[in-house]
Amino acid sequence: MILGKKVVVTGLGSISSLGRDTHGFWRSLIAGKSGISRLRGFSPQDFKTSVGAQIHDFNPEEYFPAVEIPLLDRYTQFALVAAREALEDSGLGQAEIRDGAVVIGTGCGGKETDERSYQALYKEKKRRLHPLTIPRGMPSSAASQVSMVCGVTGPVFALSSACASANHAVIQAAILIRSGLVEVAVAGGTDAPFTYGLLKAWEALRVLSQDTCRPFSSDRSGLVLGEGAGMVVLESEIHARRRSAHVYCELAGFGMTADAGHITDPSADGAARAMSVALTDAHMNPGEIDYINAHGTGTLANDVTETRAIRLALGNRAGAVAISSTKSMHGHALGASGALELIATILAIQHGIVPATMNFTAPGAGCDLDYTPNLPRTMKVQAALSNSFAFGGLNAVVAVRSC
Amino acid sequence: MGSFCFVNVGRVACIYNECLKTAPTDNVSNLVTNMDQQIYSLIVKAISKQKMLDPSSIAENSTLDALGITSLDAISIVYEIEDALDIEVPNEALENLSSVQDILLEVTRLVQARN
Repeated sequence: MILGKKVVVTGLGSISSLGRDTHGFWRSLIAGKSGISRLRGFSPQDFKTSVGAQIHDFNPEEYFPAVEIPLLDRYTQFALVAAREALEDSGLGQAEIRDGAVVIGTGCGGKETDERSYQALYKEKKRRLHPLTIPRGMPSSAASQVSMVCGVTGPVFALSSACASANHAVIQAAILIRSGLVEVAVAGGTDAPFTYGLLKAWEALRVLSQDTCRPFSSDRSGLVLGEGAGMVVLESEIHARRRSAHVYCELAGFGMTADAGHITDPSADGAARAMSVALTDAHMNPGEIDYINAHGTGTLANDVTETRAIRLALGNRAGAVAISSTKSMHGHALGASGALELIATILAIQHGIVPATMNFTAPGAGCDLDYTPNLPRTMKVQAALSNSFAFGGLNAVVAVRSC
Repeated sequence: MGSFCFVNVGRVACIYNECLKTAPTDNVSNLVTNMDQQIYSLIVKAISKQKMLDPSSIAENSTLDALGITSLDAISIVYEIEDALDIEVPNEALENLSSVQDILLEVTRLVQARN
């Protein structure tokens, strides 16, 4: 049930393995181009997996004054690049964003900083750390830096729900706008998980593919980690119309649920309830949904469970909806994934093109829906869902509608 | 200590390697049985630790389902065994393990391959 102000999207920003900005991201998505490639920066013999969706040759000096870089972990750098693009895209002036909000999701926080400090202490036996270790590595560092660089002085905080972090952050920002607390917000997610310790930890969980990400496909072999950030500018519709802003779409509704079940095994019921709550919140029926950007990690468990969840939530409509997992191209950027996928969903509405699920060879057992295999599809998209289902059973679904 | 027994090799593997080095050749079949027994004990210990089960409730023909072992339990159990024996169970092999006996066969195979 929508209470309060209607929320619209007026700005998009991103950086990922598919491009340094949203234009590059979208061009790659509709070309079916993959950002997954041979892992760089690590010795191949150290890892079982040899692939990742990394942002290659990212040089912070191209983006930030040298004096600021010591304060910016890689995950914060990505957040800043995406937030600046989103705000610029929105056309909001400094005075208009001053009282706004910043809500940034991250699954990992400043792991590069943390791991570097542990290496210094435990391996190199150093007796002291760099004085900026805390402000650089803290999980709220990205949110703080975005507020400082963009001059946002309202509610600013970080939020963490593993792979659903970005969706939860966007939803939290939308709630702030609906409630009337703020008129504008920058929200999204960021993560930079390519560190030795994190890669080893993901490897130990035995969910990493050793070659590529094939969501919903019979030969799928796991997820491929990615990195980057995605940010959207949300605004009350009244505020956006008053300044004649370009409105991408309405952020029509959202659903948040928890499985309250298992720490890693997903539940179809929890995911289905999140989709159903989002539809109800948006005053939409399943028949209005044209596209679902799936969580679609490419793991055995997720894809079959998500398929079942879509059937539960959409009933007869499930078979008629175009579904795709863009993780097949940008990898699983953890806390940033939901934001990258929401941007892909919004641009699918904007351009009337649904990105494909790449690397699809044949439907996996129990994966019996239309996953838009291998070729993007030109079609009108009036309304869509973007799914994120995190380890720990934390589900967050965003519903968007053209307007 | 045997030349192939590295610093981080677990107790069971060391015992096995020691036996191989010193044992007369006509006792090899007994040794393999002993090794199986050692590996089996290690597996039972890892399962009972992960699932808080009495070791006597775990039998060689127990299925992992019957013991309430989820996929997350399985990777934790296999991790313990890998660490003790200095082996690596590949993901594909892990997916096909459905009983205690399956684990025993796979682990024994990997220990033999390593030696």
